[in-house]
Amino acid sequence: MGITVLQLHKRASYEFKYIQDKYAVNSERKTFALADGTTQSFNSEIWAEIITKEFVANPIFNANELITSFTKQVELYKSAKFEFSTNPAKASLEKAKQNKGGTATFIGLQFTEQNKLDIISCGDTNLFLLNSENKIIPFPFADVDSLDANNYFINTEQLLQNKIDETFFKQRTLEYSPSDILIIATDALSRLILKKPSTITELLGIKNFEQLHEFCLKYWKNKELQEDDISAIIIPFNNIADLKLIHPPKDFSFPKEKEEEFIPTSLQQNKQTNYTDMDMNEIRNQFNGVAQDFHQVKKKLKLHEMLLMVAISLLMVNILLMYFLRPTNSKDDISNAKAKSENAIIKKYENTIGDLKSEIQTLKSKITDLTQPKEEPKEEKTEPPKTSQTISKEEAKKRQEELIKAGYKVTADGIWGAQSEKTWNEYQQKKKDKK
Amino acid sequence: MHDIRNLTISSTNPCLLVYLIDQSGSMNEKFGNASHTKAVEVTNAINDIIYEVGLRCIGSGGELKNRFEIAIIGYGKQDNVVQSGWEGQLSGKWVVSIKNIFDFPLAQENDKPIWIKPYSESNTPMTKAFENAKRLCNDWINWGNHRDCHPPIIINITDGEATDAGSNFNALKSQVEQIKSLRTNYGSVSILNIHISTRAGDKLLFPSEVNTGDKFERLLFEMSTPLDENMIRIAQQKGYDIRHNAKGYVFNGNATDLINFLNIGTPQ
Repeated sequence: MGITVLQLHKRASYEFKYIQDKYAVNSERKTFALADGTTQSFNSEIWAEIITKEFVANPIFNANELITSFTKQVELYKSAKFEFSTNPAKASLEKAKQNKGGTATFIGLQFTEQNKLDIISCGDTNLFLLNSENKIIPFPFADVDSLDANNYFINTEQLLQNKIDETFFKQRTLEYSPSDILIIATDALSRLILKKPSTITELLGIKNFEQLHEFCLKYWKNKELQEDDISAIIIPFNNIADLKLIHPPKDFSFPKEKEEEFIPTSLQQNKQTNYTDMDMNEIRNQFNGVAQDFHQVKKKLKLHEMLLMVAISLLMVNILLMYFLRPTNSKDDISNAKAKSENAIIKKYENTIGDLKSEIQTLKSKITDLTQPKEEPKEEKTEPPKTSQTISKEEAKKRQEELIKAGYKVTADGIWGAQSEKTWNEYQQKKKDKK
Repeated sequence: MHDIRNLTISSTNPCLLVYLIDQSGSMNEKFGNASHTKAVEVTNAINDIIYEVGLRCIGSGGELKNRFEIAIIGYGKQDNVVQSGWEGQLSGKWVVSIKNIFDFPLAQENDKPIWIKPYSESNTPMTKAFENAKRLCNDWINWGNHRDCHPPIIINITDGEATDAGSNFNALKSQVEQIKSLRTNYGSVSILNIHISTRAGDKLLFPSEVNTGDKFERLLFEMSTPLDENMIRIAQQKGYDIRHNAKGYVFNGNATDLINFLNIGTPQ
């Protein structure tokens, strides 16, 4: 295993390019540096990068000399271009922040020939030396409380104003054996290791970005790891030739949180009771205005309604007129008259048919009289005169009375037999003849 | 409860700051030996602290991260009225994220934005103000992931006695106790008090006890919660001699104390 650099940006930064932890490694000089640019200072990541690079290029373990070296680098930091916001309020902040300069923590170390390690540090970036017996030697902070109490940072403006002195730095030389492993970590990870040393084993087991991501998510979720940039350099003393970087791939980013505005519901309700008289008058005026508008709209609607009713009425009258005055009416009349005249003709023909029928009847009876005389006596002897007349008793009586009036000797008893029929026919013939 | 030292105030885990500002008539009196009024001093301090908060939230790319949400509650601008202290385009809003605060300042003075103006008008409905703060904090804690955020911090700035505190201040005490019982997974809501007095001399900064005959001074001290570790650290950095169990209470502080107090009350 060679040197491994683990880095993951905080979730609030979304993308790896915004990470403010910077490191530098010089394998030839066996020199390493790690700096944590503070979130609240101006371009702190640029400052962190400048001081780490400067240290590995020119390692200095004398605090005052290092201060001088870093002070010389402030000019380089200040030369970085920056575009101020177009929002004057934000631009004002940026200018104020720029005036306060860039701030970073720093730890630098170098291996010496005699299995010795020189360390110089300012701030809460920590070092852990893990020996073969799994014993951890931390530096400069041995517990979370002392790490949290740290108040030292390297600030560009303070450097220029000579406000940073050797008391800001902590130095130490550690002895190591080739089987030992060195870990340097920024504050969030250092805090976790100090609280839970067993996490070092987990950290040493990380071989790829997925494992690093999983490790951070797990401890962030458990609230054991601070939501901050995470950086560590793992250095096995027996192999410092190889360097492995484990950091997010280019397309990796943490999801942006939804920007939802918090609105206190209980105070929104309360707000309604806090209207001043002026507010109430304004509301009343506005309400009256709306009411007036509404009244106007209502009036217009009524007018529209009336116009619509008139239009519908006119349409209905038109339809009725069209119905009554439609041209099909005269045709009906003609057909009625035609039908009437046809009925009259039909009636006339019917009467004629009736007359013809009665004549046929008369002729029929004459034929009957002519064809049935020989059989009559026989029938009269054997059979009593039939009272089964073809005419009713009253009709028979009527005819008999008419015959009596005409001088025929018949009895008006209503019995109508063949003889009666014969007499009647004779009488009818005579009447016809007279005509 | 989680360890607050593992909590970083961020746009994913923001912190709510609630400033209660006394806008009663007595705020029109001069602030110590200064030529301006207490109302002006308090307003300047609030505008400054909002600006300071902005400085802590602006990223390298010029983007403002919503690490803080701020409420300004004014009381005494009208008789018994408590209202949002935001003005201009933020008028009527109770809580505003730092991003929106810098998008809508009221004006720009001496190259710096300002958000509020001084008022000194009517009586002192402080109980009502705390009651509003209680409801606001309760709503905020129960919204989204805020239970996993830094507990809200209420900073009350007043120069006088509440006119609606009830007999023996019981109504006010009751509201304050209810606020103290509100908590996130990282602790309880903090209440800090700045008591501005016209009396000269008797300066009292972050005391752990008070020996005074002024019952309202004692009340404000009792209402204040102890400073947490971070506050103590910042107070010490600013040169204050802080004792064990120091409370977030300042009596008769000067302008520097006022802004320092607001800074100490604002988590890093």
